[in-house]
Amino acid sequence: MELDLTIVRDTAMLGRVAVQFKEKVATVGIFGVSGAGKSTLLSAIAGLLPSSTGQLNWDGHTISPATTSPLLSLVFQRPALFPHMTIGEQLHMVAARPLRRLSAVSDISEGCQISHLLNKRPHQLSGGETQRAGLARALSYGPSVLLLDEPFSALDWDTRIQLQQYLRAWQNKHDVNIIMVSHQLEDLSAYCDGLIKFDGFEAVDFGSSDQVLQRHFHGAAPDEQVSVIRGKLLEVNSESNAVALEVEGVTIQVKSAITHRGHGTFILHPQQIITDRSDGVHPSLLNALIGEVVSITGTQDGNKLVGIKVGETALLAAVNKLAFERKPFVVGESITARFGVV
Amino acid sequence: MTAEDWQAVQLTALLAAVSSLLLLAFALPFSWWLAHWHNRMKPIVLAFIALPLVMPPTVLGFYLLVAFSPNHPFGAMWQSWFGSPLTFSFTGLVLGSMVYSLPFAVQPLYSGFSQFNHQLLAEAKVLHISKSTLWRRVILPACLPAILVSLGLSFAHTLGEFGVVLMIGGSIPGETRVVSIALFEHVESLNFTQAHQLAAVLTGFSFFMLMLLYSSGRKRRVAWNWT
Repeated sequence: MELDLTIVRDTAMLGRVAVQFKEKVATVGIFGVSGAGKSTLLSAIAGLLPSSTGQLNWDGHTISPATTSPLLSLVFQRPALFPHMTIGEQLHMVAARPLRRLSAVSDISEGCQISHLLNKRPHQLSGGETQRAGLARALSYGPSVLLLDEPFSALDWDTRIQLQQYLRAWQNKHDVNIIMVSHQLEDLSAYCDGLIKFDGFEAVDFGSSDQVLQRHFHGAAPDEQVSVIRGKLLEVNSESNAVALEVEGVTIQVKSAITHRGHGTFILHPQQIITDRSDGVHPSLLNALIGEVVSITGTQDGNKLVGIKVGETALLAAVNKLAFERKPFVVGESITARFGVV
Repeated sequence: MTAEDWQAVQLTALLAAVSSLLLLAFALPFSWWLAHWHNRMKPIVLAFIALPLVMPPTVLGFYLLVAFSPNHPFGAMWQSWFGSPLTFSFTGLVLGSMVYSLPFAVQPLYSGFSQFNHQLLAEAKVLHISKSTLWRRVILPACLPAILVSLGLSFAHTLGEFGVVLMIGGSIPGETRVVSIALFEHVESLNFTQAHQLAAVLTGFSFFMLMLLYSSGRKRRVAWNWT
C-alpha cells in the first residue's frame, strides 16, 4: 500500500502525507490527537476535496483524490442517513448499482445487526444503530477500498467486538482493503495490520501495528486511557468473543476482536480490567495479573484511572468513584488486574 | 356574477397556475445554484431578486411596459421571434407575473436549500448514487415543504396582482382582464354588488390557499420561516 497525497481544501494546502507499507497490509489504521486532520485525510482520499493531488496505490488499484473513485466508499463518523427513506430502502437503493455485489442486503443487515431496523426511518434510530446502518449501507455498495471514520465509537463493547468480527470475515471473504480512522487504539490494535500516526496533517510515524504501537508507548506510561499489553496470542474463541493471551508468563482471557496470532502489542480499554486487592486474592485465581500501582489519575466524571505495572506490561484500570472513595488505592500497593470476560 | 366576471375569474386562475408553475421550473435550479454560490456579489443578486417585494407595482409595471414595448430591443426581439407583441397580451402578463412573484418563489426555496444537510450530498457521492436518484429520492423529498410554500405563495401572490397588470396588460376581456382589474372597473362604475362578489371570491380563495399552506406546513412540522 502506498499513499502519497497533498491535502488541499479549496485553495489552502493543509499538508502532505507520504507513506509506503513494504509488507502486504489489508487494513490500515490512522490515529492521532483531535484536530490532527484524520477525517480530512479520509475525505481527501474519498475525492471530497477535489483540489487535493496525489494517489493511493493498493493491491493494483489506483485511486486519485481529484474525483470520487467508484472503487471506494466512505462511512462517516456520524453517517447522514437519507431522512425520507427507510433503512431498508436506502440499502436497496445503494445495492441497485453496486460496484460488486458481494453479499445480499439481508446478509449484510444481519451481520451489522440491523435486520430489525429495516422498516424504520433514520430519526427513529439511536446513535449506535445509525452507525451500524451507515456501515451496512456502504457494504451494500461492495467497494474494493472502504474508508471508515470512527466506525465503532457509538457502540457498546459486545456489539463493537461482534461487528468487528463480522467486518473482518466479510473483508477477508471479499478481498476488501480498509482504512480506518479511530482515536481508540483498542480498536486499531485489534483490527489493523498497519498503522499511521497522524499529526498536523502529516504522517509522523507508520509501519506494522506492533511496531508503531511500541514506538508510540515507548518509555511512557499509557497516556491515552488505554492499557498496553505485550504478549502472545494463543487462541481465539469466536463464540465468546474472547482471546487467550500469554502475558508475563500467565495466560489471560480478554474480550477482543484480535485475530493476528503470535507476539504483539495489544491495547485494552481500562473498563475491560477489574481491580482487586492482591492480599484478598486467592493465588489460584485464573485470568489475573498481579502488579504494583504506579499512578492514580482522575477522569472528568470523577472516576479514577489506576496505573498498574506488571513486569514490562503497563495497564490502566478504571475504578468507579464510589468504590475508590470507600478504600482508595495508594501508589506502591500491590493489586490484581483481572480480565473478567468468560 | 356576470359571464364577463366568470371569465375574469377563470383567466386569473389560469394566469396564477401557469406563471407559478413556470416560475417553479425556473426557481428550483436557480435557488439551488444561489444557495451554493459563494461570491461577494451575492448580496447584490439577493437584493435584486427581492426588489419586487418593496417596489411599488406601478414602477415595476412601468419598467416591464418599456421592456416589452416593440421599440425596446427585448420587445422587438420577442415580436420578431413570435410574431405578436408582449404588451397587452396574456403571455406578457405571464412574464410580468413571473418577475413580480419571483421573490415569493425563490426565497422559500433558497431558505430550504440553504438549510439542507450537505453531508447528505457527500454521502450520495461516496455511495455513488446518480444525480437524478439523488434529486428524486433525497433532495426533493427533503425540500418538499419549501417547494409547496414557494408554489403556493407565488400562486396566491399572482391572484392579487393589480399594478403590474394594469400597466402591461390593460383590460382586454378574455386576454388580460383579471379579477383585480374587473373589481376596480366595477368600483369605478359604482357597481358595488358585483365588486363585492369579486372581492369575496378573491378574499375567500386567498384565505383558502394560505390555510392549505399552513396546514401542510404543520403536518410536515415545518416552521414558517421562509423569508
